[in-house]
Amino acid sequence: MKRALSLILALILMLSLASVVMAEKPINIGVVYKQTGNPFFEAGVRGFEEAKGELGFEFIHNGPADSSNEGQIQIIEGYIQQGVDAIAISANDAAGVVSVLQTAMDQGIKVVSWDSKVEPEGRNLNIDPSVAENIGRVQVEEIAKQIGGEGQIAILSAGATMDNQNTWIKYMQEELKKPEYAKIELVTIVYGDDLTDKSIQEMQGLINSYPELKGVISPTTVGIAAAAVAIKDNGLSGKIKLTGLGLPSEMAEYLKDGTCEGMYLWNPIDLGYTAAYAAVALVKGEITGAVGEKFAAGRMGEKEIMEAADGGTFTLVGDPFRFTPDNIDDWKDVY
Amino acid sequence: MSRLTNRLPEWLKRWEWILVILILAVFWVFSSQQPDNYTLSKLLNQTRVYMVDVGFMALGMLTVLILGDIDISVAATAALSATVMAVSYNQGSGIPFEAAIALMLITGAVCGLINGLLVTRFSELFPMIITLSTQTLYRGIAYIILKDQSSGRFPAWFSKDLGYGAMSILGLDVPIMLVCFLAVLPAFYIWLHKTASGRRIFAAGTNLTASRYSGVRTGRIKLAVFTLNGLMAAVGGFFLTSRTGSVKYTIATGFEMQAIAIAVLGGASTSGGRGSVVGLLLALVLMTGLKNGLMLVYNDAFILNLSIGLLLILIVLIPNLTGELRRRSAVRRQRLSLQKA
Amino acid sequence: MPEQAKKNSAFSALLKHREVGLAAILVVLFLLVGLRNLAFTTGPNALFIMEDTAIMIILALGMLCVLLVGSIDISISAIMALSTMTAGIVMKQYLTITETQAMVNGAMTSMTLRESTPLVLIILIGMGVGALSGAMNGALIAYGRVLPIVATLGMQYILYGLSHVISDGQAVYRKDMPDAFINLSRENLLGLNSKIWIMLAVFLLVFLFLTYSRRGRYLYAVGSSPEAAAMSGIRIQRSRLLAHVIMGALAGLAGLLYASRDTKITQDMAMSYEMYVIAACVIGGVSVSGGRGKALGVVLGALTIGVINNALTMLRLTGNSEFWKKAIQGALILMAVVTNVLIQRAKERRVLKDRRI
Repeated sequence: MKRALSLILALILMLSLASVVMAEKPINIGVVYKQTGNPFFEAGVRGFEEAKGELGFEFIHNGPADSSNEGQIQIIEGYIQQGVDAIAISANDAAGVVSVLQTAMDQGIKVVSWDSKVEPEGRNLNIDPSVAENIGRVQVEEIAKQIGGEGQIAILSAGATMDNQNTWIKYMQEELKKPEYAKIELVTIVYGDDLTDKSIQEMQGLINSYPELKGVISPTTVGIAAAAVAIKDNGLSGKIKLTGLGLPSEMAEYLKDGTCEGMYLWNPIDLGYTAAYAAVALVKGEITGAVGEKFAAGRMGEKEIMEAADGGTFTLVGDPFRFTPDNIDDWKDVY
Repeated sequence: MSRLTNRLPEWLKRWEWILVILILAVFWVFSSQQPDNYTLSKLLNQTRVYMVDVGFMALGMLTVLILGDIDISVAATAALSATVMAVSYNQGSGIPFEAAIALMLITGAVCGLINGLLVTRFSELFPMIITLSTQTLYRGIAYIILKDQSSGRFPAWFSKDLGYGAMSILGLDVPIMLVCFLAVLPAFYIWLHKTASGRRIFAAGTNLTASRYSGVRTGRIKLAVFTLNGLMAAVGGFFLTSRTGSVKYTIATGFEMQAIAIAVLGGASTSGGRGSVVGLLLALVLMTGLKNGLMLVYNDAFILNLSIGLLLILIVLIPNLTGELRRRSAVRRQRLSLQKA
Repeated sequence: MPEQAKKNSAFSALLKHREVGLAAILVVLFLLVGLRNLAFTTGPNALFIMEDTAIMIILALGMLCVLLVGSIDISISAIMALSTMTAGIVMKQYLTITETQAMVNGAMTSMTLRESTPLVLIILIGMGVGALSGAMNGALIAYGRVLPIVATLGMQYILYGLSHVISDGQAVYRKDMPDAFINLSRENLLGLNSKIWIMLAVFLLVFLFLTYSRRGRYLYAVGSSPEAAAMSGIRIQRSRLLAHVIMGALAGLAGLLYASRDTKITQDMAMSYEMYVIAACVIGGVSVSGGRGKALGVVLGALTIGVINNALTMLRLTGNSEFWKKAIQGALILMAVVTNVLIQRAKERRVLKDRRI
């Protein structure tokens, strides 16, 4: 008996931290991102907050601790249970959440994917940060400019299984076939699994295996920061050029000390902001997510819905922004 | 107080009652905080997420734990068998889905058998180490087969009806997969607790050497239990796949720890000889209620983990401590009576 | 037959030290990979493997102590995350950046100096929080009688959760770190990286502790037979606690080096690193049931894993073969473990044979 009592007490103690904030009336959006504690998605949530100030909806946000598909399904099922009006998700596995999102849509919940898409059957609309083709090509242009148009380059990617990474890399390889890049040789593609230590090991492996290496493209925020660490530690800043997709707050140092002369990223705040506007428009019935529809996205202007290559529909946020040593100070405290 | 507990009948003092009280407490706390969302019918829906696939894996893990062994590779086994099913159905030349399921179960059993063979042949190496390596191996093979692809497009009865369908029982919508799980439980219970072969597992787990000398073929039991565990992992993977609708090689990552946690919460001991199917079911109900409630209230993955960790430790620690106190007071009483004599 | 006996004794002397067998495996592995990629066998790469494995070796030495007393700790990656995050928050809090203009080679260059709490204090905080977490593990296992795997599994969830709570989900980046901390893993002394020096120091300490100190030898006694140890007056629970405290402190130290190398502290840092560390110990000949294992063996075991990992990077598996990496890694670890057992068995058989003669 004493045992049971003490257990109950311990449990109540555990739960006494509870603070419940649940609104009933306004539109409620459930935001799902890939992983908790990732600054990119924290910035994305700031975009939702900004839109919330203008539109007056409610939103809750969560992501799994381990960037797993199953964790995202748990969160989505919880959102369905709470009766959210819309779900805005950046999916860890484009196909793995389709079934659960279909049951959500069967119950009238609108689904928007942002940053990383969900397959068309599981979404109403995809908010694409930028055209995949541009993202791929622009990084090749950048590295070609930095290494002076000839030499060996390598790609440090996140995972061999990531759809967006593979699409960008496909366009990079296509771009490299152009005659002006004939003297550039892509020696290898390595994968750091979006883990800092593994990415550093892979970058170190590149440095050890290819003494002639001139440049590295890393289209992942974890990868580019890890590559910068390895290049700098080897005293190769400026000798091995580096570009890719990087977070300004994390990369500011390396842009200033010459390890990285220029890199790209789209604005996660704009991404979250647009996704919020799209979700609200869907819930209010202003759009259905069909090709040709338009919706007003606050300061982002009017957005048009287009047909995506995967058979679904999407809208674009903008082109990736180029960060340089000159403009980095304006951005390093923003995201 | 202690006299009162001593007078209670033996069946009331069992571990399971702690779980029942905890379950009631959890449900009371959360339903008072979230009266609209934390209802029985909505919770039944959540059993899909927290109960069925992990439950099957935990059932297999339970038998392994009763033997005093452990299997870290169950999640990888589930991933590999799900991969085999998805690929043989999608890319094979017209293999019917039923055959793909059979292949999946066979794969799971073979993975378990390999673990069992390694464990019995290399008894110096602990099952933990062996299954730690086979975990990487099995998932690695799934990676080789599937590469960066997701494989899905299963028949509708599988990904719609089984994955998300429900049947009406007593006016409640009960998920079909939960019905499947609850149907398996009694069979498992009878086999493990009421038949000779089940008792032999307990005997082998309580004292391996003694049961070997008394003529029990412990090696063969181990092989059988590990094979069964692999099979159950495949079944867990089967239900998980019906929910995700597609398979990627990363499927079920980390489920082995969840399965172990459930079995331990249900009263199994990692040192063997202890564990019950009823306790396991109660542990699953408790976890479902707690995880879902925390998800609703906090909406934070790390807080959820933190609470699960606390619960796991407290529920194992407190009986130990009270048991220790009782032992000490018994010793003191004995001393006192000796002094009097 | 004196000649036969001599031959026998030379062979058994070799086999008596299973470390020799392990070193042989290591060399063969090293050379095999060298056949495919010459860069693998170069001095710089060998040094890099040492550097890269230093953190794992430090952790494995701590794990050795824990395994010796018949316990296990699967919460070490969470201990690393929590202790490093605590230290990271402190250094972020007290960071001051001063920019000075100086004439270097006739050109004005600006120098940034980043200072924070003294490095010694940061290391003490990291190791202190680690030791405290280890003490929690130890207390649960020794005094709460919770089974090690269950206690540390629960603690893993709790510690990761705590590191998330104290950091409020914010990571600590290079810009939040003082120079001294960034350089902690980057200094060179006599051509060797500081991580290697720290690892050597830890190795020496653990080696001396286990071989020459009374308390260290108690760990073996407690692990091989708790009852006998208790009979002979050893406080077995205290030894168990001590082992976990050592593990925790070393995890704190390893976490700091890890963070300094990555120049990044996240709350999910080093997730599932413990599996490599345990595998390193087992390959190094440590018995998971307690009472058997040597510091040198553990170092070799960790190096084996380091070589396997680095080899998979350096083999430059491209295209489809990239997907083979994980399976190969699992198979190699399994092979290393099994080979080690076979060597051990051969050794024991020989000992038995010798005894019969």
